Amino acid sequence: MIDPKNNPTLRDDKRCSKAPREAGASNRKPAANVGPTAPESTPVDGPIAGQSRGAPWLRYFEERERSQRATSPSWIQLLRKAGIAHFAKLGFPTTAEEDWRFTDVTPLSLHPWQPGSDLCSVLGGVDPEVAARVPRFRDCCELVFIDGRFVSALSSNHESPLALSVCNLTRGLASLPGAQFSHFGRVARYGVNGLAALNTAMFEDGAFIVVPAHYVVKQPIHVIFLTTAEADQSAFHPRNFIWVKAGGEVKVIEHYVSVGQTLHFTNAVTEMTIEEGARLEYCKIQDESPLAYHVALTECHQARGSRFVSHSVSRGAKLGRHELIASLDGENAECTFNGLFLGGDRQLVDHHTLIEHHSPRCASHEDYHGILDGQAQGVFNGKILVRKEAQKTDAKQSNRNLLLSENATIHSKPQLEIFADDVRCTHGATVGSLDKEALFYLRSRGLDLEAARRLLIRAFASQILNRISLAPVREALDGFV
Amino acid sequence: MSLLVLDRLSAGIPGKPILKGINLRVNAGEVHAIMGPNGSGKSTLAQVLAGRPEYEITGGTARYDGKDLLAMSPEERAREGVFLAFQYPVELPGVNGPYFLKAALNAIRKHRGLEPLDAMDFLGFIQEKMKVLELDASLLNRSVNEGFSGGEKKRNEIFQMAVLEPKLAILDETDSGLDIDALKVVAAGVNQLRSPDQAQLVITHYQRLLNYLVPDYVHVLFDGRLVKSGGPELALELEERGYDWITKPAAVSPELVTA
Ligand SMILES: Nc1ncnc2c1ncn2[C@@H]1O[C@H](COP(=O)(O)OP(=O)(O)OP(=O)(O)O)[C@@H](O)[C@H]1O
Ligand SMILES: [Mg+2]
Repeated sequence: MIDPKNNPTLRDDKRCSKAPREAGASNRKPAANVGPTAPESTPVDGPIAGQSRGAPWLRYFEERERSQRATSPSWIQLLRKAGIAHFAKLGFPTTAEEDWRFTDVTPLSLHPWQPGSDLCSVLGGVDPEVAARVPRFRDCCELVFIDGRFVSALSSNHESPLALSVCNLTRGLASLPGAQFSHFGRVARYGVNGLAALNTAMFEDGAFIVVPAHYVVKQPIHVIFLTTAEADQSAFHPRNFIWVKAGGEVKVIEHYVSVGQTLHFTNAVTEMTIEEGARLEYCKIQDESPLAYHVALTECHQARGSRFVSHSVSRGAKLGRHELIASLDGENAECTFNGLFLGGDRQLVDHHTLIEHHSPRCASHEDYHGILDGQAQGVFNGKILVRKEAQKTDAKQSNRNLLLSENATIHSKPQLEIFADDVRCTHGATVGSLDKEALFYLRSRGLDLEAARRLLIRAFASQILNRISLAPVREALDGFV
Repeated sequence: MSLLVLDRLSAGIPGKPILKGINLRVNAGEVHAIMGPNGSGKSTLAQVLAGRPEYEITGGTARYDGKDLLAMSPEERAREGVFLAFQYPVELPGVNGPYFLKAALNAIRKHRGLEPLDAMDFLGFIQEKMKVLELDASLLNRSVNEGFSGGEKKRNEIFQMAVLEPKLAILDETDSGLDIDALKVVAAGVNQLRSPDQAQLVITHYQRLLNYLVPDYVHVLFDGRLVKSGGPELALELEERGYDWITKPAAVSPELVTA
């Protein structure tokens, strides 16, 4: 175990003189660990345990603060401080909390992570082999992050008027005055979510997308977070910011993918603001290494008459969680949440969604499909909150699950909290295995059992994927199943 | 030569015998109609012949084209030329019609030692069949059977049959749900398939279908047994008199009751 006195150590340039590359080898000192130094006894799970496991991160934050004070704008420093204060209070979530009942992050909180920001895998240029493995979709433009770092050489250039408004976060925040960012750090509720608080304190880089009013961004923006073999044992805190001004339109794909089987931790936060009459189609793809932990929060504020369509597709990580929140703040706003999660082996895949109807005549449609095999565990929690003012709300929710093995389980829970009286809310959840009649029907036409099974599984997935308007993305995801 | 020979075929679900010794011989080129009251086992027979795994064979044999039919998986039977048009075609949400049909056709072609059809050839091939069955192209581009009307489902079954060109076609109440015009179109599609080395087993409740698909033999299935066989005139008689005179022994021969 690492001596806590050595912890943490920040940038050490020696680590960047690359040793001959070995698969999975990481070229840095092991001293920069962030994480408890002694997971001696298994702590009793409770809020206190969750807090105490956060201590190494608090120490690391202080160190980093000291070294970075000069470089980042003061309003960001303040935001980070608020983040760490909340994290100090909240700590890591524990299974004692209802929202984390089935998703135990104890191993993740005990793991001695090294800060991903200390990695230097891309400083000396990107390995061409890695560059070749950046997944690209036809007709999209890209923002590429490798091991947490923005790689402009692999990313697309944007012409005016998007030159300064579609870029990496670090550049975006630096290039415009802080006052512009009334939305940055104000959307994601890190005051109630320890991991979002940790991200707020520690965030590194991510996508910065500001769509000018009444501007339709033609090319979808594909934001890729790729981790390499060097990412093993590292923690990343990507932060994305999307602001679609009144009447604007954009499509964004947030894509997490790993090259190689690394044990790393991604803790992502994406904040979105969709102004009046604006539209955002958002696709989040989680395809991380089977050893990785992936926890993400996407939160969206919607003004009057805005449209938000989200597709959350996950198949990677040992533990993967996506929390998706839309707040319908103005009249006639509409959101659609589509989800597809695939799990096998001993994967845990968790999708939590929250739709808050704050205004009259808003609509929300939610449809998540889960496909679980092996001993995988799925969690779907769909909460719909309808405030007293939100009359004429139309909310539909459905979660359907396909269990391919007897040992796979799903915990599906709809949660409706309705305070208005004139609303239409429906919800339903189903769990089943492959339909025997359908299998027989296909076999009676000449398909063998395996082909018939595959066809039905893909059909189940395609009911969600077909709603993605971007054909290249849809086609790529078809191959997931 | 005999395409299908059933010898005392018995089957059911665990704890419930349904077919209780069926004897039947169908030669290539023949059309056999099977009629009988609700619940007598007609669909069970059809599904057993197609290989539905839920049914348990409890006795007897079934030979198809000289082979042991019961030893084959459902897909092997299909590839060998058995086709069942379902009484209740299954809805397959999300399954693309042409994709599914091409996979089925190519599996069968492969079994017959033929090259797979590519997308273009396949499209040309099915367009022809669609014309025969007056199938609306928009149906084909929807998920298989999903939300189809009763009649559309039946028409789609026969369309699949026309594409897969089976040797033994089993039609389970294909007429129910079809309007009068559709019945003619579908029957014409079925008749187009007729050939000296092909046979049909037509399950129906109504003689009307048999005006179009003229059977060589008509059989009555009752309580899991074929209790009466005859020519096409038997169907007319059943239409008129119902089943009681066959199924209620007392009505047929009162003297047996006292004996
Ligand atoms: N899988 C099954 N489970 C339980 N009972 C079954 C099953 N399959 C058939 N049966 C029973 O076996 C009997 C025969 O059913 P079948 O569907 O073969 O009748 P049918 O002659 O086709 O009737 P119909 O004219 O109404 O279509 C019925 O009593 C039916 O309920
Ligand atoms: Mg029947």
